[in-house]
Amino acid sequence: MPDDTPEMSRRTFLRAGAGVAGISTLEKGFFLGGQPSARPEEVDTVVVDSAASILSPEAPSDVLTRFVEQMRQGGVSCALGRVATSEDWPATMVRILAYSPFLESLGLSSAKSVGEIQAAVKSGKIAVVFHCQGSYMLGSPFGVSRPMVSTFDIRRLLRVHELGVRVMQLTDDFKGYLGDGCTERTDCGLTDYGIWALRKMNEIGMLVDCSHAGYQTSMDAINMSRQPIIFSHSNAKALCTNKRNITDEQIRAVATNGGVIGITAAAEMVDANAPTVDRLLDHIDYVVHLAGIDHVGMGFGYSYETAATYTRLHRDTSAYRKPPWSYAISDPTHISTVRTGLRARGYDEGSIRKVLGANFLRVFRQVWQA
Amino acid sequence: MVDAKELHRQTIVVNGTDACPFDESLIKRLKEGGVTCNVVHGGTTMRDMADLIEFIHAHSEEVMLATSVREIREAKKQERIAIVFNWQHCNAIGSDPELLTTFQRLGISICNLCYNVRNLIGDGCTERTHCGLSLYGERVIRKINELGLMLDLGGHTSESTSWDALKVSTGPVICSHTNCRALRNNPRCISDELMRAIAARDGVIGMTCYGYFLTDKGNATIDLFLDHIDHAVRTVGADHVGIALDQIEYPQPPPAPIDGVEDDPYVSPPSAYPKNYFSYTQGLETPADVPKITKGLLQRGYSPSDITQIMGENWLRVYEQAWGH
Repeated sequence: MPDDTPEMSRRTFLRAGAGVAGISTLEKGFFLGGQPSARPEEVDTVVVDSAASILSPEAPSDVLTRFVEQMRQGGVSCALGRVATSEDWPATMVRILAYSPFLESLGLSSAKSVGEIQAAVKSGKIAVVFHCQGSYMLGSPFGVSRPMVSTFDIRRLLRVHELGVRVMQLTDDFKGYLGDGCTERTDCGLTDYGIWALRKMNEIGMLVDCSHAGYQTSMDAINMSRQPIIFSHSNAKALCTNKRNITDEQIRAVATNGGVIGITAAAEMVDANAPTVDRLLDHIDYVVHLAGIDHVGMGFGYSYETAATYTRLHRDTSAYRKPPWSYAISDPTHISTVRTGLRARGYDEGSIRKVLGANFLRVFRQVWQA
Repeated sequence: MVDAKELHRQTIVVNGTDACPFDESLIKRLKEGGVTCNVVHGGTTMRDMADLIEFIHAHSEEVMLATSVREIREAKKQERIAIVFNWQHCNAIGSDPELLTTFQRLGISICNLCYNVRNLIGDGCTERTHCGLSLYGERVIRKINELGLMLDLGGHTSESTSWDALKVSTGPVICSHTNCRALRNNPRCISDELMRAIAARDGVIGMTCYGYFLTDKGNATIDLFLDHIDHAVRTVGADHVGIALDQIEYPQPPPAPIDGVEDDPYVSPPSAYPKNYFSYTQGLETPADVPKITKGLLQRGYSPSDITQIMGENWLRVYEQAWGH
């Protein structure tokens, strides 16, 4: 990055967190009331948040309404919404079928292709892509050829795709049928069934997401995938040693594979002590240096977590703070601080567009073929 | 000279794992074979459970559901067959160990952890990786111990999962249906080291008569089956070996493939189960043939008391330790 000394006062300002609201007011016209802002360099900027976990029916409606308004103010055009996590097959079906009406009730529109994302953006709506943050619903690989009760149906992957899911994590935090998660005591890599599922995902155009996967599972997936893969919300382990963050090797592998890493604002993944916007920008810088400007995106990771879900999901206490969770950028209203921060660090507008959304759109188009 | 038929008649014979269809033909063969207690797949859904329990209810003069050793001994006296429900994997509880309490009330008494491939608990024995127990797996085992369920490695777990399970479990551990790796190098077969570790905890290792676990051609003889019992007894002693024939009673063609999708090679890979794998020891095809084992052991010079242990009492001892009654 070029010398950022002239911007020092602003960066110090940002670090203190005091300037955030002020800067975001500059951007407020963007997409408000369905009218794109007149600022030309932003009209064709599609801002993608690759991890809007909060867009889930568990969150209370006032929280959701507020979040959607904040996304609008922050200029988000497309978000990956968490349609399911680690539910079983029937529960996942119910959730997927209920998800479009859920999005409509929030004034959001669902998208299964880049064409649909662009159409939504044109009509001033935020496009939400169905994202499974786990693969438990696919069931155990077992029982097709053995005389025992099976929880497996080889067609499930095709069904969730037909119903609109376009991005799927291979694992949650723990051991699963496809591979191991990043807070598991073992780090075993993909299973035979995981390799089959990966190939099938490649074939049908399901974007593979390695966030939450263990190191070996993600490396297996990246090495075996015939399509780009993403980390929808993961930061650089070199800057913050959280189990959810990824190593230099993983970051380089994504670059070779052609995928994208979504940098997250989740405080404990930004910095254990000082999770500031500046530190978030450090993660972007770091991954850009290692992987190149074409392989970085934003997956803010706003989530609705309560004490109850924290306990129920057996969260690893070293990887996740006790709720309420906090973020380097307090809410999506202020995500334009990423844009201003990157400008201050000397990124040109083309590079900023890539980080804010164009990289993800490229991978979406490549994998979905639509 | 001890009469094999008489010895078999007096013995409480426990078949530590059975895979036959649970129907009237099975009852007939179990009676013919003098089997006192038959361990069968318990249901993993309410519907399956209902089928099993209805069937037992409708045939209550001949069979009874047993969840205690006392009931198994009672069944022998009443000349009924005690049915014990096991699970060959814990997938039915998903990620919620508390469901074990409910399934135990429905009759599940023995829990295998995983079946050949990885599940949430750990790797199975034919998985491409050979990793151990998960954090969730530890919780499942603690629950199995707490509830007094019998923890079973089955022969379907990977060695690492088995070793981890032995470390975590505070109760006895069995490996219900396997064969000796020293005689047959198949991933489903158990190593001498693991057998010794299970025996050191007073556990029991059960021998199947599945052809491909006994020989690479699948054309096993009773002699070969008895060789596996011999090896296990030499390795861990007659107090830690049982029978668990794992018969499927009649050859079934594999189910038709699902439209347009290749066969699943993941659960029964050729490394363990060659194509057309329904192959059982000649002369030990169904539970009706079980008396031939008692006869064979006698001919090999086993004492009647060792035979009684191997044919059933070892299972009863370890079940009682786990179940508490």
